[in-house]
Amino acid sequence: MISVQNLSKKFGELVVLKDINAQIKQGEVISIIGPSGTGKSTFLRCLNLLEVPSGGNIIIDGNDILAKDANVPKLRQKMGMVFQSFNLYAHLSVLDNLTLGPVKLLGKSKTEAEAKAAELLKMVGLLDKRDSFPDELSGGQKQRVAIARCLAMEPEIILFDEPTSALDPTMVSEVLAVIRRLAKEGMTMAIVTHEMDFARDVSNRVFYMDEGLIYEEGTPDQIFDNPQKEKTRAFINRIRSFSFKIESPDYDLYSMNAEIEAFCEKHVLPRKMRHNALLLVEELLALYDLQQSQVELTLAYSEKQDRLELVLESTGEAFNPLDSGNAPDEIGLNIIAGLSENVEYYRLEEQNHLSLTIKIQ
Amino acid sequence: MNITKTVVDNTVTLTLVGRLDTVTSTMLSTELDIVFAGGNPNLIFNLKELDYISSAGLRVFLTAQKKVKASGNEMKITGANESVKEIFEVTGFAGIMNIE
Amino acid sequence: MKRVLILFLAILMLLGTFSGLGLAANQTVSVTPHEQLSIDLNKSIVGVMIGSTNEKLVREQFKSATVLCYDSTMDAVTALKAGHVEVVVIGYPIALNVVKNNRDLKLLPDVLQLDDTAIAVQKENVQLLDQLNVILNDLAADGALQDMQKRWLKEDFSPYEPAVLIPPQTGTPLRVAVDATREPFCFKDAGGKVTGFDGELAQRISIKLGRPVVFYDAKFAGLIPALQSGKADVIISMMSVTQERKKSVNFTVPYYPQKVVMMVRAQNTGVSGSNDPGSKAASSSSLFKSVKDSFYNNMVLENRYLLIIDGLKVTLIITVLACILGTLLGALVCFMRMSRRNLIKRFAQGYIALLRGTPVLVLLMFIFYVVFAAVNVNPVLVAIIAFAMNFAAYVSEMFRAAILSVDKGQTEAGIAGGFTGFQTFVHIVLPQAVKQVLPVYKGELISLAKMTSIVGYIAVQDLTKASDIIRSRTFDAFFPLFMIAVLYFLISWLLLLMLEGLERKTDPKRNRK
Repeated sequence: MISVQNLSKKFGELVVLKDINAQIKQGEVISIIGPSGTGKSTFLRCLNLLEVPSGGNIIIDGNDILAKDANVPKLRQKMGMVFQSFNLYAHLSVLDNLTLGPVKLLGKSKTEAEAKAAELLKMVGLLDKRDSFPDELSGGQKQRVAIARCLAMEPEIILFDEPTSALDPTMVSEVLAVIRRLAKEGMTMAIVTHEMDFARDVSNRVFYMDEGLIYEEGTPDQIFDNPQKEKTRAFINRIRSFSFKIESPDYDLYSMNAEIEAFCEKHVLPRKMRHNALLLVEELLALYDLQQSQVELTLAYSEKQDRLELVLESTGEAFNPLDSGNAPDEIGLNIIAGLSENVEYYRLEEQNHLSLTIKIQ
Repeated sequence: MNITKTVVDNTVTLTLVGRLDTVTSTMLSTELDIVFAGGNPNLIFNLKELDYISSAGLRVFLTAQKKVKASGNEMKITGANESVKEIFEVTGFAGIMNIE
Repeated sequence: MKRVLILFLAILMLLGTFSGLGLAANQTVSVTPHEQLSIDLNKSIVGVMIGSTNEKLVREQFKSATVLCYDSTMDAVTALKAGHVEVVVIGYPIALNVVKNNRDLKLLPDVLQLDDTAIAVQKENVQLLDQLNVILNDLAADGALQDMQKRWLKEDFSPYEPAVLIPPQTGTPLRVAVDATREPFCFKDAGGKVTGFDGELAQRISIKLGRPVVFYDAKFAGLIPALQSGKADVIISMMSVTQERKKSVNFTVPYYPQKVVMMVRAQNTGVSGSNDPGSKAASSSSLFKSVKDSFYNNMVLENRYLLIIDGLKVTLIITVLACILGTLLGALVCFMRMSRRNLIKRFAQGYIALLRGTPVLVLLMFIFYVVFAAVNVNPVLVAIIAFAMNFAAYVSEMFRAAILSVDKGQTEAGIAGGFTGFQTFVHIVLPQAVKQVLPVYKGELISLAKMTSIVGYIAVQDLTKASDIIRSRTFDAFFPLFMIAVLYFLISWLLLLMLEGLERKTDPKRNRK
């Protein structure tokens, strides 16, 4: 139905989409997931030319929509779009939002359009709001109206651009329920979303986007249970990390501490975990000879497993700071041993790797 | 870190507020040098408002305890919070020091 | 509506207190001796007519006086009555009429100078100048000018005695520029025809030349531009001969030496005005009577209300048409301003900057006297064009702001829904922009209505000009001003009502089923 070849998009110097190749078949539900800023929305918006691609081809039902003679408005009528910010026509009532397109574009009569609109509003559970205005609806209601508005145009595919991102958590499920229902009825859909559980159970296929590419694609089971590539895995396990480089013995302990605290705060880590992270970092760094080697310190937090991992990579001779011979006394080592687990040391490519998990009990 | 010193008879109480880490432990050891230069008192560390302690701080306590014991006096650590206490535990300090 | 009526009545009452000094028949003018004057002429604030020789005169005679220039006699008189100036230096015949109708004003006996009054002709039109000089010499020689002075410039205020003259009806018209607010020289009679000393002189000249006379009535300051731009052939409007004017026009031989005198408030002469002391405690009935008298003099007498009605029509026509045309033009400029083509955008930006940076009076004069100099164009049309252009510059920016204020998501939703860019604009952006722009647009329209009051400069007889004409006849300083103030208020109120109606109509929530 839709075939995308070598699609690219630049905003000025910034390359957002590098080289996208994808197929969407009739009746498929595609979830597009990935970190922010990796071009998911841009990809979706290229499909109906809200953004004009910088290169590549988009073929819809055999028509190249980038061809000069393509009737783009006509093509868009068959592709509904649901926006993150709803974008209901603010000056029209709910009913008129649904009838404007069918009357002006599909040449339907007002009565015909209104009958169809009423039917759709009933389906999304908002028939009693038919005469309300957008600013009188809650976010969830607005989004359901927006979906109904798309359906009123009888589209062949609906593109969802983060349909629940602007909603209060309490309203997410009412919108997802409507989308699930459409999926069950066989509507072709492409959904950019951050709702992983939803993406997993509603879609036939998942695109993981990163670095301006469809980095990995597969069935929900493949992507969510057994991602093949490292970035996908990090994303699925929701790992966030933070690095700090120590290049001299006179490093600024407090500014490093401040950054660690900020990182912990950002991911709402418990106080205890924060305290232990700071203490472990201090104790570990005390063991290194910072005159001789540089240390890069990484904190990685996996949201899914609620685990904070500390990795130290140092240059110089083979050196495991936890070998008791290397420490001035046992005090520091005892602290480290008491607060961490899963300690691992190995040497690779002239670098010493020491990783440990921060224990909180 | 803030250090407050109170002297009653032959007992010096040092109240530590904030963090006792690699950087601030030198402050404490300087302070203790002054205390020992003036005599050999009993020592009390009040840690009620100490949030954080690292091995560097523990080493200062250890040195102080040795000096106090050598002159036959007593050293006591009071008011440590949960996380500081935990450090005393894992390092075995709980067993060799008088911690209340 | 009731509230408006009450307001109207309140204003009438108020202005009664100002203008209760109406006509008194057969009153003789008393001239006050100098020594009783309670103001120091040397340090006084003096009002003079703009561009007259009097300004220079005052500066020379009263070294430390502050000189304020006025465009019309009645403006200066109003300023005198209100106390903004202490002395008005003015031609004697007009001054006489003023003090006759304003008993709180007096003339000082001194004659400051004799001012030569002459006809102004275009520099290049030497032939006409020669003809006029011959005619004026003839009229002086056969006593006609003397006779006219007797019949028009009366000290006893007996009725004027217009001559019955039949000027030719065919031939090349002689276009005579006048400011018909200068009784007894040139003013409009009950039938709205230009008459007076200058009016008759124009007719006599027209007979001698064998050319029908056409009057072009504009504000005094607009007369010389009218002559220079070829809108008129001569100015016969009690114009004094000055060095400055000689640089731009040629003057004929003088036809009347005008005495220049000083007018002051009666209270400054040491003699109380002819107001009897008891009238200070005027009862409400006499207050009402004076309002009634003012109303009669300014509105009923000589059917003056017709002038007001005609002026009102002109003001409304200019306002409404300039608004419609300006809105359309504003929309066009707005689209050009929002164009992606740089050249078009720059052009629109230039237009907006230029028009907003130019006083609308300058624009008005420029269009009339420069752009349409050679064309015989209806000045009302020029006024409509000028105000429309000005209005367009302002509203185009409002439109743009309103369009930009519509969330970009609205456009995206329309485009993504399959509408073309144009359809999206018409069905989705425009209705929302209109709702946004109406409140500010209302204000702009009302200021447009009020701004039209300057069209008198290009000889359009609007509401303000009508009041100037009435003031120049009745010499009543305030009543006509209040009258038109009320009318302008009513116009604004009406426009506001209409737009508010439109606002309600475009509010979708009001049309809820």
